[in-house]
Amino acid sequence: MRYSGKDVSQEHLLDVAKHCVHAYFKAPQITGNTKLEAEIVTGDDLVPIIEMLGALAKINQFIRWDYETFKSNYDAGTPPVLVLLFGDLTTSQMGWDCGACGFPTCNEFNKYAHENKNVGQLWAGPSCNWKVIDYGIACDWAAAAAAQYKVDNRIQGDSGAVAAMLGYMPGTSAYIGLPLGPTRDLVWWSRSSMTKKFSYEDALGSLFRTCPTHFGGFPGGGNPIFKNKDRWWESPAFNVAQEVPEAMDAVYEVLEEMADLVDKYGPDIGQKYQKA
Amino acid sequence: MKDYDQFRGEEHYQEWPPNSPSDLRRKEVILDITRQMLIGAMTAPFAGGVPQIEGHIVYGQQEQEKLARKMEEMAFTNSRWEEIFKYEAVMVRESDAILFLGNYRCHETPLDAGCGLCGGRADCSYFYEGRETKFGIVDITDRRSETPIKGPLCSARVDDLGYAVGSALWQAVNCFVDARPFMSVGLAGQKLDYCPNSAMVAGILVAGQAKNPFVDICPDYHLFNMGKIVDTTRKQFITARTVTTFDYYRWIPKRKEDEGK
Repeated sequence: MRYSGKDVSQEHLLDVAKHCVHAYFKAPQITGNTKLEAEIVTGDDLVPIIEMLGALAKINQFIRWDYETFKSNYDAGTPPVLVLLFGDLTTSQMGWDCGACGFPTCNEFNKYAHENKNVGQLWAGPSCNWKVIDYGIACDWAAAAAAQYKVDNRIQGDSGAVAAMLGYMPGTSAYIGLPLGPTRDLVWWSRSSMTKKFSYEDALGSLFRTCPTHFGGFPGGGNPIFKNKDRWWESPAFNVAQEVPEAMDAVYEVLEEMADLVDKYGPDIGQKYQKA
Repeated sequence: MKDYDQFRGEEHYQEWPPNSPSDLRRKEVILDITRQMLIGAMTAPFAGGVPQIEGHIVYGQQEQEKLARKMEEMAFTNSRWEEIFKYEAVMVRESDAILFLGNYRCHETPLDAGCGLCGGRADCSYFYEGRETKFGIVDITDRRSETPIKGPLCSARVDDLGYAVGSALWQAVNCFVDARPFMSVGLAGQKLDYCPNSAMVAGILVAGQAKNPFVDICPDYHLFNMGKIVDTTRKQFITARTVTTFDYYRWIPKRKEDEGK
């Protein structure tokens, strides 16, 4: 028998994914009460997740990087294996009354959480913070299992969140995606898939927006020049903070696109969870 | 090269009797592994790669006794955790080292991503409305609290604390050292000012002994544990010796079948 190294290493990702899930469920817990769920998604079943990430990539730079990495590797015939690590963290059975959630007692938290459970931009809440730690330990063990097998991987909020929006594992509140592979170096870090996908100006623009203080001139006058070019003193620019109501328009467009994708793919994905 | 001539010696390791040189030598190895666990925690994956974890390692008979007594004191403040705290105080005494991991951002410099984990809202208002703030900067100077932890906290940061704890535990497993995270140890450690900058602290007990001291425990473990049983054995046997005393130079009682030999 002869096997292609590339083929078996790609196939082996699924076995590693099983090890990750195994470690996820085996991980120690502080509460012993944290409910965990997991699924493994790859091949064509990644398409709805990639399309959802593609919609979000239009308004979020970090998600764009994940989208491009998923898509380029899927298009190349070496799709990552996505391990979905979900949990329900919205109830505290312990009665420890520790206060970390902001309520003096677990009973008051549970009542509030029951009446106000809702989703944020990534996950749902409110959460019991001891269960949050349990969930973090478990996700860490899943990633550590992948690292143990020397598989390139990255813990992600976005791939988990869009999978939850599409209907994976209903009844959960925390959603992490752990993509594994393909089997080479620099897939999810120093991403080779982003070669020539953006310009120097794009990178600088990102720094200008995210770390404006770094480009500030002498602050003593009270209104420092913003050094946005080499000869910054010639036509000075300044930082201006202003509200831009129309900034949300692009977000609403993306949300509509995502709702359409949920309508398109959600019923099939959700069918698995229908009770017979 | 002269120094290398001194690179020689022998080391004996044994966990009994407790705190003997051979046992302390063993504990020192566990301390080194606990330090490796700490580094594992520091390099765990965090949201945005932001540093946010502080660690504190505690070891030694007096330090562990102080922590155990704090846990026993706290045991009686909540009937739901009384047994837990009393049992785990025993485990503190039986452990070789204790690793505290805390998140020093979860109450002051949150992720600000609107993730929804803390309160189910898409705008971080659950956190900010529950804290004293100005322009999004959190004022933590009022540390008074009626609960052990002053919430609400940024749960995304707390999640990262989970990753830190996970990596520390993973490191322990790789070294075949027993380690287990505890709420009780974390809360008591906070009271003793371990991880002083953190709003949420997990306590990890670490041990490298023949029997994992953190599993397979008895009911009423605060009463029925190795330390207590060894002590009652000392108490019982010493008195038992005095009951049937004799002069072994003159005569030693024998089993009937051995008499006359």
